Amino acid sequence: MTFLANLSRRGLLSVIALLGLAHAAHAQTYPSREITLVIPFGIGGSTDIIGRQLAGDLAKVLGAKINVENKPGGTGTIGSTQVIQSRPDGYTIGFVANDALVLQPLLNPALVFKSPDDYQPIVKMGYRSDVLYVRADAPWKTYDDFVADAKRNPGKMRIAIPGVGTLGELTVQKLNKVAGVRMVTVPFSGGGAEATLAVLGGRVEASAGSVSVGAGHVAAGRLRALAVFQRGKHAVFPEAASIDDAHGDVSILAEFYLFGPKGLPKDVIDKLVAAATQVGRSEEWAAFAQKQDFTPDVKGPDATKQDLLKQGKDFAERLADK
Amino acid sequence: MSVTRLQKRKGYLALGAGGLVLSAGYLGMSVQLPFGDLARPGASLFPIAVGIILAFASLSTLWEGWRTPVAEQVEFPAGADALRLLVLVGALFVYILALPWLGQLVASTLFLTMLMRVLSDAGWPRVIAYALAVSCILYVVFVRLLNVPMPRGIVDF
Amino acid sequence: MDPIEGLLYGLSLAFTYQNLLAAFAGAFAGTAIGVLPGFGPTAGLALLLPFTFAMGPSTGLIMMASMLYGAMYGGSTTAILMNMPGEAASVMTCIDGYKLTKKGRAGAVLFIVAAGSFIGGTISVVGVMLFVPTLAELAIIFGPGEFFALTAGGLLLLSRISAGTLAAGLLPMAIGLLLSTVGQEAVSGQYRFTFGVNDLSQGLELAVLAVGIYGIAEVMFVVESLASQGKPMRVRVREMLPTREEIRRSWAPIGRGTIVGFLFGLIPGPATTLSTFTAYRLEKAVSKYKDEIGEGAIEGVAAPETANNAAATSLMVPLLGLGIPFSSATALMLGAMMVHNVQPGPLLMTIHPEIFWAVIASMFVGNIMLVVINVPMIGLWVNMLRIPAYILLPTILMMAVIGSYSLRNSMFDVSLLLVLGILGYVLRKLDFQLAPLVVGVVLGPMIEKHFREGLYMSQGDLSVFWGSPIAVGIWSVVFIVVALGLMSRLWKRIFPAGEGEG
Repeated sequence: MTFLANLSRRGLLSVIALLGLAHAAHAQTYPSREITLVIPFGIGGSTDIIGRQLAGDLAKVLGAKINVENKPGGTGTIGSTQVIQSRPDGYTIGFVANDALVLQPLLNPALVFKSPDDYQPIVKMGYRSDVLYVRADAPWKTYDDFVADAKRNPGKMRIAIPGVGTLGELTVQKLNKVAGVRMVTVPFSGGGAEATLAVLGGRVEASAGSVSVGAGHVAAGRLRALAVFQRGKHAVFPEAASIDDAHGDVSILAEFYLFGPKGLPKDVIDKLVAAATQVGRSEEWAAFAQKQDFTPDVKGPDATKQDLLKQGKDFAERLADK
Repeated sequence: MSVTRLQKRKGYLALGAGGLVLSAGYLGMSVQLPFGDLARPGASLFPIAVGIILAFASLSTLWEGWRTPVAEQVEFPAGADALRLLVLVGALFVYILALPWLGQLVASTLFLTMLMRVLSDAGWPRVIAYALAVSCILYVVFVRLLNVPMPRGIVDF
Repeated sequence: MDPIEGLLYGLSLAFTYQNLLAAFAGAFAGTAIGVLPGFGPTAGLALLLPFTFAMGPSTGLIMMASMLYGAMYGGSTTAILMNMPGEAASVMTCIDGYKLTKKGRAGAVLFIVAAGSFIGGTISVVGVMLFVPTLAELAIIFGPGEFFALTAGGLLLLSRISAGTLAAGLLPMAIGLLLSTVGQEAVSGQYRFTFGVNDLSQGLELAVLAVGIYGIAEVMFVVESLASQGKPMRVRVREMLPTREEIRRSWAPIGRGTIVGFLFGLIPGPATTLSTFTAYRLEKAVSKYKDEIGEGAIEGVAAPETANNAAATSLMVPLLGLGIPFSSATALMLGAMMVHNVQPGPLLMTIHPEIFWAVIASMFVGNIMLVVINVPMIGLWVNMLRIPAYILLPTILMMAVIGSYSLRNSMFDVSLLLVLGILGYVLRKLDFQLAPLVVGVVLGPMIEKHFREGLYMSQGDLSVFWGSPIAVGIWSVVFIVVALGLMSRLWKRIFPAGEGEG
């Protein structure tokens, strides 16, 4: 039993430490104690699923415990703020998507972070695209049916999205514009799992969410993947229509970053970058990513920062275009 | 036990009045938040409702205070009892202030020593021994074995 | 696999030397963690999760389930013995549990709680085992409209959770609602009432609130009266076992608690906490001994404690059936499964029957471990009350500080502990009730979220809140209970004392 072995070893160590005999046993190299990885989204949503896998893999590479802490709400800003305001010692880091980090500051001027200068981007882990789900017994067999119906009935189609001011909202806005329809977004602040429940329960017509929150239900014959928010065929749902092929550049990819508070010591950043890069390039990660329809795209702190700045510009333009 | 008696109705009236002032201030801040519309309700909706509930609750507290007979009294401690209570609150306050500086183990031992001494007539050696034992046991069980994170302070254990 | 075959298979997984040891270690660690005020099952599971990575999936799940039950029981222990709820789900237990302790019945209460938890948990596992796919549907039909009815209606009923005047319940509840709005709100991320203080932007931690207004205030009460009681803090310790009368009176509340808890676990939300509120309120409404509840009646402990174990168990239904965890505790179980590349969902039973039955078996084993570890320890717990106050009180305070700090590594939370303690002390001195305050803090954010999201969904049509059969059903229950309450009071006013029986 590793746990028990661990227990007794720790117990013994601490007794020794208490006696003052082994005070030097705790070398101050990072990480010397457990790390908290804050995931600013609800449990079971896609950020959570990817973040928890990352936490597990990072823990192995770093040789430290990583506690995952879900801090949902405010479209990811509550948890992100917690990370940004934490002590920059590397023991509190966050795993977050671009909606919280890039879009939210544009919508909410009161946030403590405005640009990548206010926090420390560590590594970009990858991206993925959302899927438009409807119930399997819905009248729309294809995406064209869906759009045609939306055209006939402005304001009738309600699309569940994970929260106010998320990328889904911006995407649907642009879709409305280029496709000449008026669909309504319905936010569920509990994240993708709640939005999926809403479409399963027939309370909304459709939901825009990740592969991971819906694929199980599609396989069980309860949901249908009508379209994907990307260009070209989708690996998991090849039969689904491509929204960008139909209307041009509409979709925004969801991108995932490991980040921390501003002012992390350089050795901590280097360690985390090395560890996350090793994880992101591993075969296990590739296999996991494929299952979760997540494309690994590992970038270091500087390249990640450029990415974030570029997206900020794009989102600001979309918002101005509203 | 030496006590100071206060009229219960005065307590109710004070609490009701305080609640009313609080609800006014709270409502004042609430209305400045975005209201949105019915189809996209904003952040002020719920606080406004809460402010109204608080105002109502305060009014009913005032009303009940008004109807409470003058004879009904609440006992607050006095003399040595009050002192002990104040020492407790003070010790907790100092403990909380000292925790980030001294770290969990040292701050806790000092806190335990001080409070045990005030709460009993046991001598220093005994009090110190107990305090050390308790803080060490809790430290080993929770911080070491169960990995509960605690501030370390300048004395790193 | 049919249920019996499956269960036997699951148990064959569970009853290995290694897994039983894991269950024992989990339940033991859980109890220790649960005793730490502020530290509940979720925090405990989070600490444990990394240990389970190295184990096989079934060993890890068995250990986690044992830990979960252990921690919930541990939290109740301090609530009963010291009026110090370890987390929001033990708040209701404080009311009658602590009064019973003062009457010298601590051992009996702890025994009944262990028995009730075991019964509630075990019956709930059977329910989960037999009906996972069907029951998972219940979660799907609960949307913002139904949830608003449940939480807002619940608030109405819970404002009068125990006796006392109108203001004695309403004012604390309003304060609770007010406290719950401090911080960044969940729906659109607005900062409210933070006065530019960063620590306030994350809102109030529920466990800190419960520990502060109950636990710290209780210590203040004990300290001020230390000299006046001959032997300080001396709680009479009589027989450890419940009397025949107490056992007889516990059956019905345990039965009702099981049903309430089981149902709450099936719908999205903080099921364990909500189920204790509801179970307590239900006893207050229907129990034969309802007039004693609030003054130290075994019903007031048996029902909520059974309910939270039943709820912790049936929480597995949405996890196993839909792949959606409704609580942080089940999310951590989900984490343990995903580490081993098992994704729960509608197809789990077909693709990974071994995981499904391991989870079921783990809950059986966890419930058994709860009894195995804790019943022999009742004597130890009760004897803790014999420790002189000057040692016990500082120790409790220190544990409260450790627990509150480590929830989110915040000294601010620890300072709040003191402020809330003073608030609880003043409110109690003036005979205000504290439970409605906790209820307000728990339900406030949920009411707001479901109200606003319901309106988003219906595009401003208010009928979403009473448009479905479930919502209508919930509102009807609320209306009937309120009406009955008013009528019985009216009855008592017309036929005062004695004649108003019935």
